[in-house]
Amino acid sequence: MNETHAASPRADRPLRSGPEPVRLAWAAHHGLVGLSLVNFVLRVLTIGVYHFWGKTEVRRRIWSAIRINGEPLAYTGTGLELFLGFLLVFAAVVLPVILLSFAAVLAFGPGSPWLIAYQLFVYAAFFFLFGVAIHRAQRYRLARTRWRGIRSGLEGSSWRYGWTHFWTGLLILLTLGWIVPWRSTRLQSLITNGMRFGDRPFRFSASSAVLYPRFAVLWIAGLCILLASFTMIGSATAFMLRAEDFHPDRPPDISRMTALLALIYATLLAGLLVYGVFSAWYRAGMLNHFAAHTAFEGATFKGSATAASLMWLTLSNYLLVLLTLGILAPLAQARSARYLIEHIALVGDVPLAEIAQREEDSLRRGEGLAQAFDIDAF
Amino acid sequence: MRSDDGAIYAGRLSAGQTAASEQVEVRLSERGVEIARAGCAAPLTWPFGALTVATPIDRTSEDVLLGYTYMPGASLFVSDRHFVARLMQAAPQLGVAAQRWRWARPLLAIGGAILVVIAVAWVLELSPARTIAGLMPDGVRQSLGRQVIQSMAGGRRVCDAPAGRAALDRLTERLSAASGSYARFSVTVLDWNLLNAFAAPGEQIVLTRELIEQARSADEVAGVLAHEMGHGLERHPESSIVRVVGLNVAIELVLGGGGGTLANLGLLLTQLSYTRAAEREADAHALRILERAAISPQGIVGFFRRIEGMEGGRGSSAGLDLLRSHPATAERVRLAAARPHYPSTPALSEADWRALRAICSPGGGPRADRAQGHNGAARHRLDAIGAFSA
Repeated sequence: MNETHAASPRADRPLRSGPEPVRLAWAAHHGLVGLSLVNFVLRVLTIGVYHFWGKTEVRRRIWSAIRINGEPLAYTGTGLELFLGFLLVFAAVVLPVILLSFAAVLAFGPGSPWLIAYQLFVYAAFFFLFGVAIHRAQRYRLARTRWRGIRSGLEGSSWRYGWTHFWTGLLILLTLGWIVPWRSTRLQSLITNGMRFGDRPFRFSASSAVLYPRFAVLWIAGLCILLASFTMIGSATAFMLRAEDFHPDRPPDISRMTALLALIYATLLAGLLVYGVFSAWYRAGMLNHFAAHTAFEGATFKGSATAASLMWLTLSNYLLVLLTLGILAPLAQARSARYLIEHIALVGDVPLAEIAQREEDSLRRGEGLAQAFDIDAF
Repeated sequence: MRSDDGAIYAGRLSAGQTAASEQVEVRLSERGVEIARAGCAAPLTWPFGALTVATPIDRTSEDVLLGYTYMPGASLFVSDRHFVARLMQAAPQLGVAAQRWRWARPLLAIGGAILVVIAVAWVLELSPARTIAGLMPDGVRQSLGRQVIQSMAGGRRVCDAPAGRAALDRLTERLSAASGSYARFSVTVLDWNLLNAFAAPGEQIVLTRELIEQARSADEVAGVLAHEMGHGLERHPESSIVRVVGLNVAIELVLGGGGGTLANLGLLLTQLSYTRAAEREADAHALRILERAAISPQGIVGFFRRIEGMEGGRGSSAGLDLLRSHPATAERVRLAAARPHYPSTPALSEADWRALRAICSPGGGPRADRAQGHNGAARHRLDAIGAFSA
């Protein structure tokens, strides 16, 4: 080896003890496509069990791509933890429900009102557990995240989060969706206010009122798109279908039927895309609003998400996962993480040297519940 | 392999006490990574064997975040690809492949072992489902069977014209007694225009109105009944349910689902079918039962022949044959014809046969108009005799 690498900055800078700025950056890395393929093959060859180890390796890469003041986050979770968590939930929740469902069908008989009551109860319980799972998964991921050796974490009760998630979820139908901005704010508040880095808390103070103008536009746009699509499909059907198409003895005109079906799909797709634009605009506004009201040790976050960039991210990620049958999902997860890191900044100085280590979270096993419900943010 | 070439790299060391980090100088020596801190005379040495890595490294890695087993919480970040390349040589256990294979190898071994066990069980025809089915108490099997029939019937009327019912009971009793088992079968006729018969758990059998109407003699119905009894004697319906439930649990386990697919028993039933081997077993029982009951096997032979004719007419003979679960009709006919001749009496008297044919019409006599749905697809489903049997 030559000596060119010896040129290290020897300048003995004094240790900065005061607050300092915090910069978030994304360090692009290669090999995620290869890793996705390897994980897929190993997952198939191990009858699915490698899933947990593959996911862990993906997370390690994504975490390490996130740089704070030039130094990476470290993911310290293990595949074994995820696997044991999944097994535990399978044995304690999924398997009993399966067997109980079977027994219920036998005991009550198909179509019995008791059976329907039982099934409704199972759905409700699962919906509740779904919320619990979101919180627990977040807790696990944060507990397994370190920066400069300092752990992060999530406090607060998963059951409380699950309950809020549950009853506000039921109200979505009753309020025709109008509870959604309030609900998102409430749930985000439970998460962010529970978040810790080292011994210091994050603070979330957003009000949902600011979200409502954008939500109103989204809601009305959604309604208009729905009506327009139905009108379009209805009139196209009325125009293109004829009475003889329903004659039992004559085969229907295939080409005309195909054209009609293509038109219907095109209309639905166009409607979905237009709605996607409004939805991205709403979500960008929400992200920026939430960021602006999230504080850590005197510094405040600042979001720079835009409707166009969020729309592109959503659409391209969706196609990426769909067209590769989920094999390249890690790539989509990395892109989402990158988007978040590149559209969030921390304004203000943080006294990093004062942040002390946090006690280790007592949780031993991975996010089994989330695994069982297939919740997977990253 | 010599890693000590004197090169000095810039690194950032965090002790893990606070979120501060300090600039350090890093060298690779024979023993490990040497970290020189400003103001400290002696460098820290982290031996290669005790190093940990936050993200495994490979040739494309630009940087590395190292940990040290004996200083939990401490971490060293070096952003220099040459450092990473040399570290990779000195401590290959930190590499992507090494870290991956540590777990992938045993998991692959377990996966392979499970596949071998399945293959062996397949080859030896060991059926854990059958064993479990054999352990089910009679009460459970009967309750299971009732539920299966109830959900298959889907609200269809049970045919029970008294004279027809009595005739069917006589035939069932004659065949039951000949089955050589303590089991007493019960047969239900459903007012259903689908040509089918199926065996349900707990020695229960379902015939459809269409099947009785399509049969040309009581001997044919007796043949079908004997075949379904064969399934029942072998506990095929019970094993099938156990297998499907077990398979679904396994799928849920592998795919990590929430148990949703198992919530619906009706959906489950659509997945039930028998293997060719099971059909052959049922056929063998059928021929044996018919012989002991002194009923001619010509009935079932004739029924098979007509099914074959209808299959041929449908234009789906050889191609589909392999996909079908029950043995080829020709093979069944051959098997039945190969039995030595024995003295036989008709399965039912003329009067009883007329009564059985009228079992679905309370007024007596087969109904002239069967207006309710000449559904082509349903009528021509020819997988009668247990191809789709619960």
